[in-house]
Amino acid sequence: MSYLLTTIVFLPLAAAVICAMLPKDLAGAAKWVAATVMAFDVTLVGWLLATFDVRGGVQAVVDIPWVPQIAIRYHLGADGISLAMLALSALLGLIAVVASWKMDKSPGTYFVMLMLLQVGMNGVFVALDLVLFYVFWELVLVPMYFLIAMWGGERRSYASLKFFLYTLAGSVFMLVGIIALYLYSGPNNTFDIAELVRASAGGAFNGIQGWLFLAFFLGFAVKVPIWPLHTWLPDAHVEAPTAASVLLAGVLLKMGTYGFIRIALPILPVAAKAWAPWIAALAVISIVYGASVAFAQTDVKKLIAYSSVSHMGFVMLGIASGTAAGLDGAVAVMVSHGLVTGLLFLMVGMVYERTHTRQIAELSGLSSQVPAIGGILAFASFASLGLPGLSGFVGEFLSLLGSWQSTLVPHWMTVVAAVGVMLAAAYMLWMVQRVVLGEASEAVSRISDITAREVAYVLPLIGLTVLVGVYWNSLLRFVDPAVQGIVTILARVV
Amino acid sequence: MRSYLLIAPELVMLASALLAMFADVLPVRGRRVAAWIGAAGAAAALVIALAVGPGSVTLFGSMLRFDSLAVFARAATAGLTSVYLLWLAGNGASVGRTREATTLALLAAMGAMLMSGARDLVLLFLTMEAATMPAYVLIGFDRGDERGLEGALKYFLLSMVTSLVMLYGMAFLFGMSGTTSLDGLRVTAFGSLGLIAAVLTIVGLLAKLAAAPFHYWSPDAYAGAPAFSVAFVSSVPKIAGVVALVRVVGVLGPQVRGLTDVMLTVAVASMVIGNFAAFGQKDVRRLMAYSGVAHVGYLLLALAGGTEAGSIGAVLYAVAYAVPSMAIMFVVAEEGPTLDDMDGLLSRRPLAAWAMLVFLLSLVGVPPLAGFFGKLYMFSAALDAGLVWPVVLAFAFSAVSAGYYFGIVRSAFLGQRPRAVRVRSTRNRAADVAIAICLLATVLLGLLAGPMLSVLGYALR
Amino acid sequence: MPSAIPALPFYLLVTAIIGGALMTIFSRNVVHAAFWLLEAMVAVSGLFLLLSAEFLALVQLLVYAGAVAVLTLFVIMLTLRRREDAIRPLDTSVAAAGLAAVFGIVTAIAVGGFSPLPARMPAAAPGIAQFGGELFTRWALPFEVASVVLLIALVGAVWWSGEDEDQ
Repeated sequence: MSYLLTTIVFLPLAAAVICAMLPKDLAGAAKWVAATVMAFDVTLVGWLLATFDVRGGVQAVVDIPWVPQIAIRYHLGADGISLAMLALSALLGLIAVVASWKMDKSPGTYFVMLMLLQVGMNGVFVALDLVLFYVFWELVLVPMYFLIAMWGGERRSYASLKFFLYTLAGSVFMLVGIIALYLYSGPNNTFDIAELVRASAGGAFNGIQGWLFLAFFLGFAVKVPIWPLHTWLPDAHVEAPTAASVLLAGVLLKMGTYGFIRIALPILPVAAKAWAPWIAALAVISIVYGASVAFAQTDVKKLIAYSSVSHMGFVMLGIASGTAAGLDGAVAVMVSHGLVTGLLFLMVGMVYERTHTRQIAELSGLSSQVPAIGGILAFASFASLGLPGLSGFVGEFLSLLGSWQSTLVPHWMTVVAAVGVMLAAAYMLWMVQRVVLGEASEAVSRISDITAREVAYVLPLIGLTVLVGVYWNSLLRFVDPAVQGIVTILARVV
Repeated sequence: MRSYLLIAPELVMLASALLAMFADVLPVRGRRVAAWIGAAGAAAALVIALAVGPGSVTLFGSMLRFDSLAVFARAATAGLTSVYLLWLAGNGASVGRTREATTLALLAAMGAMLMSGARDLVLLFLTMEAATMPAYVLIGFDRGDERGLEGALKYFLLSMVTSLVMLYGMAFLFGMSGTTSLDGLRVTAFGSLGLIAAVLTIVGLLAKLAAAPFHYWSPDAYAGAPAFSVAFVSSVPKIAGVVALVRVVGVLGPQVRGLTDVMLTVAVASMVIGNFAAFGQKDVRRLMAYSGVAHVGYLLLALAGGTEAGSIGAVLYAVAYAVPSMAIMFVVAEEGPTLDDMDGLLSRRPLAAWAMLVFLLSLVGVPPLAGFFGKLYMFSAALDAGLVWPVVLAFAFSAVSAGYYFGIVRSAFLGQRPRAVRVRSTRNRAADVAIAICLLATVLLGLLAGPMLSVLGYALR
Repeated sequence: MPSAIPALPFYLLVTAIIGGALMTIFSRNVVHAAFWLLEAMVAVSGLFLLLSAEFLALVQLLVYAGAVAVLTLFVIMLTLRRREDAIRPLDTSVAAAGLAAVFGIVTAIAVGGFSPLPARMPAAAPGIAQFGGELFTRWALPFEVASVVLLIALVGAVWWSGEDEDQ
């Protein structure tokens, strides 16, 4: 029994409670509380990473009955995939706090929301009981709704509600699926993921796997988001404040793909295989569609939002392949997209803070006026388009490799997806050319360059992007053992 | 004599009702004395109800039996009434005369508490009347307000008609089984006449719960009534109503083929009508009336499954629904009934705004609040009984309901209004404490459901 | 005590009850309607007599015919100023009538679906003493609850008709 994960997950809740109780004239101290707690949280995750046994298995487990009457358990644990996502979530959480340092519109409430969001994000990736998973999953919704609705841009009211309703609508179907899994799980009904995997291997869900998969698919696909369920994403991203955008793109989208890897694939392998070509098709459409629409954007943030749709398509393609390479690639894209898109949003946020515009037409020549900001933005764009040596390349390469190897995904889909990579290169470079290069526009001409605080919070992201890109194994040695387990399950069914 | 000891909670309620009615002649004077007496009395009733606990003995011949489900409903009713009167004590002046309101609420709660243990058709009917009759007065509590009186009259007429229909059905049941005892009802030999009698009997209960198509009274009645009345009428008596429905359906359901189909139809109709009609409502009372119809639909869905777990889930959910909906009406009573009145609640009263959010989220069914767990238990049971598509529909509607509930959230959190000019200094701490208790209950009812479930004997398999 | 109810008086009374009820609804003059109501209530007490329930018949006469119907007449008398006000428009609802008809037919078919119960009358009609004993022992609780219901009605009536002392 280890309380490490419990501490990691609920530490931000303590911060939220403290922030909520701060008197009004001390609200400025909220950021210090949040930053301190998140720094401690990241340290704990680092400790977990350092002591993690990379040979695999679920570690740091805690398992206590919660509602014994229907076998709901408080069951947390982390395998390699969980750990990678948890680390991403905690790191981006800390960065989001530091990036919101200048938040002056009711900062107390703001940091309460940020910390509550963190509880949900951390919890989703380590919950091993489906009800617990669902609790954390939904816990994310409300703080994110408020982050957008209260601190967002012009159309925040619309965007936040759209985000909330879309995700909620998806997740209630998932809840039906969860209950159905419980009811069909055999004599000892259970919500426990590992036990459900065993029950599934014993044939408990034969015959209804398709329906169950559909229920989970709806819940996860909205979150990812897969075309055509993606329309909430650009709205939410554009309206959200910078920190919320970072977390939305960096962590929340991964909850969907993580759900596929953790729940849908191992528990419903038959359906997952049967559905694989269709998921791959949707993934490829997402890739190409996201990339093409990104071309047409005039708002940098919206461009990045659509590039997210495209990148998450690669994750789904890797998942659909069902091969070790594909799944490794999927997780790698998840991590890399978290780092890189987080970085992109942070840079755009910096630019917006200084120029008050995100219109590509009004921005140009960042490199001449503010070389550091321009340079990092260019760096992030290169990472995003999948330049070898940076993290983006690892995942996309492995995803495409996996889908090519896979018997489930037709080859032509892989080819089309590969075209998406080129499109990404094109729209990103075009953006860089217009925004970073050239002569400084009026909006850009009088702004100051990056500050020490800003350097402090982008540096870890840059470092990790390079580390993962150069030394793949730094990530994959955690992820691969867990992926092998899922591939074995998938291989067992016809 | 022992029988009277075991209905001590109800006797305490009755005594405090009488005491509250004559509060003016007590040595302690003041507008709010009556409400304080009532709150204390109801709290005492709650404690006694829990101390007495469940028993398998039938009291007064075959009239009453307080099994664990009845004790739960009884305790919840007493507890909620206590919280309600606490709020009333804190808000005395804005309500007008608290004396009558307190008395009526206590008497209604007393009726509801007996109703949850009723094992006899006659007692069931009488206690139901005792539980609803004060509601007519409460709905029309503003004597000068024509809309309120119209709503009250509408409620009274519809409620009476359905009560009579119910009585008619009970007469059939009595004729067929030769007894009015619920446990003694035998209608299997009478074919479709059994179904007719059973349907007629539950119509009365369905109408009191405002299930479609018997819901027409509720939007008008609520919208015409002062919000503090709605707080009580829309929540507390419903718990016992659900328990009574559980009893009647529990006895007749297995004997009468088709009764569950009727329930299912009513359930689906309520969900559909309630959820769609709630959209676009500008008056929070009206919105809550329609959403109440939808919630009753969810409850009936669980009952339509016909399983023990479904019944327990439904009663749990009735409580999980009553707490936040009552608390929302508290805030509405303090702030004003329309969505515009909610504007800028966050800046005026941040704690009330956040509490409101929690209540609304619980109604939507967002974990880890009471509403979520209630729905989980209830819909699991319904799904287990094979009602797959209705359950999927119910879940979908839960998500849809966020659309109109968030209208309130948007007003409260995003709406801008210059600081209110209205003076409302009538509120004191007690009102805030009442809302805080509701908040706590909304959070804890869900998280700590385990012990409660085991007491009630909830088991899916 | 007869072993079965004689048919002719029964049908006469039933016709009187149903006819009275119908006339209550369809009379355009509310005073007439009130009298028809009175007629129906008296007929019901006749039905009780037929069942050898003399006490109930008496109560029915005293309470319903004596008090309720007379109270109704008083209310009409006190609220109507002119003779013409007693004429009301006949409110017909086709939908409700249709619904009632459908219900009646369905019930009739259901009732006709099985043979009538063998009517077994008890050897002796229970006396008033026995009735009182039952009412205050076995039925004590419902009796008390009924009195609470009346109390509630009283409080409500006082509230609605009372003066507003607060304002």
